[in-house]
Amino acid sequence: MGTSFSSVRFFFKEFAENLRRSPYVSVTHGLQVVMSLMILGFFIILMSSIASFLFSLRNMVEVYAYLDTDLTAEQYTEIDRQLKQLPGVKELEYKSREDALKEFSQAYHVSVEGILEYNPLPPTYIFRPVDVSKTEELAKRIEAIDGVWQVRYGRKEVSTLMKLLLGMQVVFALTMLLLLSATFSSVNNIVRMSIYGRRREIRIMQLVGATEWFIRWPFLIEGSFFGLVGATAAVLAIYLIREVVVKVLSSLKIFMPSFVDSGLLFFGLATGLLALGVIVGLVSSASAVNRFLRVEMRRIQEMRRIEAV
Amino acid sequence: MIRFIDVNQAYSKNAPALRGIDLHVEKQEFVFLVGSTGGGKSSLLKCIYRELVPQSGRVLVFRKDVSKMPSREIPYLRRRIGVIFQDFLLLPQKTVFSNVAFALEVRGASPKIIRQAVPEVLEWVGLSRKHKSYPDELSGGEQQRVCIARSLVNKPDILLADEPTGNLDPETSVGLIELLQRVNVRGTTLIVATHDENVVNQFRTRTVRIEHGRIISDRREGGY
Repeated sequence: MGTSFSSVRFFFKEFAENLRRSPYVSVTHGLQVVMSLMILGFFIILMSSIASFLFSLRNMVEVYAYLDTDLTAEQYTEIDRQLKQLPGVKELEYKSREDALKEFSQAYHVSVEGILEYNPLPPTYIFRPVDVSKTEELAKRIEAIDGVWQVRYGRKEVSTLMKLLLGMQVVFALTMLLLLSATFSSVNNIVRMSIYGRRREIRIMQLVGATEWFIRWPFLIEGSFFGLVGATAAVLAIYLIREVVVKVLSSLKIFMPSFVDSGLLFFGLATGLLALGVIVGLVSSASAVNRFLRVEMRRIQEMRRIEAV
Repeated sequence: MIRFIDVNQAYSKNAPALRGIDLHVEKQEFVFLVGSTGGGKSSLLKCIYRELVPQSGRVLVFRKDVSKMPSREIPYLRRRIGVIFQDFLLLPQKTVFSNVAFALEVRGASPKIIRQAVPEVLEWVGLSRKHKSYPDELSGGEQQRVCIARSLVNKPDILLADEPTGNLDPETSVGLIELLQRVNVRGTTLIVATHDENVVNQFRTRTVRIEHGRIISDRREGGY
């Protein structure tokens, strides 16, 4: 127990030494981490707002199935049974001919029966699909049922919505990748500079019998620290900017996206960014120190061998 | 303690470093490795602490073939072997005390053990009064003593010195080898690679000469 405590103390001492030795480099690269994570945070807010809007549109996609008007009671029963068995349906609503007529009359202030002397409107089934991307498939299934006169849905609108959603997911994934790579690279540079500055120590550590994990730990702590500090600064900056935006939008009585105003969602974003900062910092520093231990050390040894020859 | 069996190592086809090396060093022996620069002395030492893996042959240290030792076991091998270099390899921003303590810290030693062991070893190498000094405030001989203290603080079974007197004047060199001799008397096996003829002739002990990667003489009575 005493030994492990001494080791932990040593790791933090070495980590503090790393910071002390190259403060300017640490600050510069640290700011890069802050900027990358801050942009990432704002990007998440923006994309979430757009996504929540597009997803709300998804729920509005409906498929209207109009039945023939001259069906027998048995035929109605059979069609109703077949329609209710269709897969991929989230909600199904039935509108009788009478209800349709009533709605039409109320909407257009016209008495259709008064003019035509009969009810021309067909019985209607309204489907809300589980998966919007499978709307066309559902429509085709409905169309195939005998007794269905016509199927209508916003074919073009659904297709545009799907393309938009897909495009947004691709843009989101690529931007995330880009920003995470920037964070990764910043932390990697900090740790590589530290390793370079401490290569003599590492050499001595190896010679006196330090294990590779013992050598790694101070750098892993350093990487996680920069990830965490960068993420904390980014979260604080986002919080302050969000406060200003909420105040300004409220005073102007302008529509405010739900994400901007939601404290819970901000908490989620903050936690996510902090976790991301630590994880990226940890992975990045591990990659830097492993690379040094495996590749650069071998290269140095190789150079020494050549010098010896 | 250390046994080389037909060890071969080449950096390239035209540059063999070790050729058919057979060598046996007993426990508590003091051996000088002599020969011209690039003859293979350093390569031989490196094979012992597994800095170098020979292309063929076996290197037995503490009865284990270190050339086949898995990487995870190397730190534990090195804890039993001290290594001293010509360029001292000290940390300039650390005091003498911290430089020596560093070897214990990286093994996870407690502060209590460090406070006890470091002054002891510094006194032993004659540097107790300089424990607060930084390496650049010390002479070459003193810096090499710090390096020896750092190697000894872990109480190694084997001490390897690669040209330890390379940066020292003749008088200091003799003093340093006397110190190493005392280390040897305490029970540590010692191998010193050097081309310092004066030192080798003064301390009559087993001397192995390596030239072009081959052992060309192994004289028990010593002498360059």
